[in-house]
Amino acid sequence: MNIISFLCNWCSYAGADLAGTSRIQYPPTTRVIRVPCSGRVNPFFIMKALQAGSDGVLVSGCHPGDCHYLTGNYFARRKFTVFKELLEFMGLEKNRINFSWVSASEGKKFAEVVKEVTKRVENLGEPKRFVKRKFYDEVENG
Amino acid sequence: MDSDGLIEIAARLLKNKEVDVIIGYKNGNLPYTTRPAFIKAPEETDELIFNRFSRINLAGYIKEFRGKKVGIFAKGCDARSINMLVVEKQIDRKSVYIIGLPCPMMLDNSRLKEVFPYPKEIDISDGRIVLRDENRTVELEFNEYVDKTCARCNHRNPVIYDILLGEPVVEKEKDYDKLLGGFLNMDPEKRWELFERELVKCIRCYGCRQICPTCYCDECFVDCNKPKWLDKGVEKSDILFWHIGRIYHQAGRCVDCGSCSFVCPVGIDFSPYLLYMEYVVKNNFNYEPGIKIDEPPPLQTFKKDDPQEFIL
Repeated sequence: MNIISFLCNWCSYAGADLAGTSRIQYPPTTRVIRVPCSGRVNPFFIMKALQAGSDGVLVSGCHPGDCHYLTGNYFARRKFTVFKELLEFMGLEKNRINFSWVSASEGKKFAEVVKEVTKRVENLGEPKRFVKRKFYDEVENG
Repeated sequence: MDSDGLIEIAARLLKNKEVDVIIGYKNGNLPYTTRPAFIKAPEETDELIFNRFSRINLAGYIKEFRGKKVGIFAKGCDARSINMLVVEKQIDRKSVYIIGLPCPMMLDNSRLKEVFPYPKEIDISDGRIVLRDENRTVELEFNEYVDKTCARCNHRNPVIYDILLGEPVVEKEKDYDKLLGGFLNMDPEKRWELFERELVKCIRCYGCRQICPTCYCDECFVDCNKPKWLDKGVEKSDILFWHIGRIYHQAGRCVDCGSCSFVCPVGIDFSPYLLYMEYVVKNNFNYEPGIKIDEPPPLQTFKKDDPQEFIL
């Protein structure tokens, strides 16, 4: 299981850090990529992750109104609304990509979110749509 | 629909030096086709025509004449595209002279070609199409051969113009439920199959990008090699990446002119996906592309109470 998480530097990444320092248990299924803001996450990042064969994607940022750059997450919210709807319309599984708001003090919530996303992605099974098999096989066979 | 009036106006604009170039249509060299014409001298204006095969969106050509004053023929969709370009600050409204033409609805040339490949004479009047050559005459119902995009169009009159030729036509509402219902009721697996089957035909000629007025980036993400988003070639996943990317970029900007599907050499129908983007933007952000000139595009702005049910 490999879930790629894009966490914003100021809230969710700190939230994940808090979950760690507080010794809150959560599934070891996710690889974290730190980004300056959820508004920095280009939907192509998500597509690239799916293409490379990751089981799921999580994008997490500050709660609306709490953005370090004031408005980044509002723009992100609009982008992701459109992007998620588009991929679902095309027929990608509903829970393959996930979004959440986690603040720096919500270590517990971060653990919950990872649990929830892991459960969702587990139910979907292995990703087949959109994965670039050729690329994947080449890497595996050298 | 009066070509004479058009020629007169085009000639006058060029003669008075009000514009440097007129972007319009001239006859194509195959039946049922027209092609874009770029007229720079008053005596060349005789070539200009406007008929029911003036299908493609001309707004994209304005950017080829930066710094010049452009006169352009605009049906409903062209006018909305021009509007969108003005909203996105790609062109200056003052540098464009828009000759508005209420759209008589275009005909589907590929289907007509199947019925009668090389007519000598095409006569359209009173809701009937009459095609003739020496040996035979075929009479067809106009409404049955209207282009799919035009049949669902809800803004046939240009929303913005400097001069309007002809009488405005009656417009109708767009019924998204009817247009997208079939898709939305399918289960995701079936939808993905359909999407893949349709898009995998793509040979990546990028014709859809070239014709699109709103695709004006200096460097498209598909040509970009730092970062390199996707590989060249016809690998399935890369093709889908390209189309998902392109369609996503059209959200809140596509005016549904249908030019991309029209120019596609392998006949991909992009309309369900682009229509759905339009539907999503309208539903969530209450925005319709190309209608208002003072409203920013939906993804360049936000409201504090935008919908967020999908966020954990």
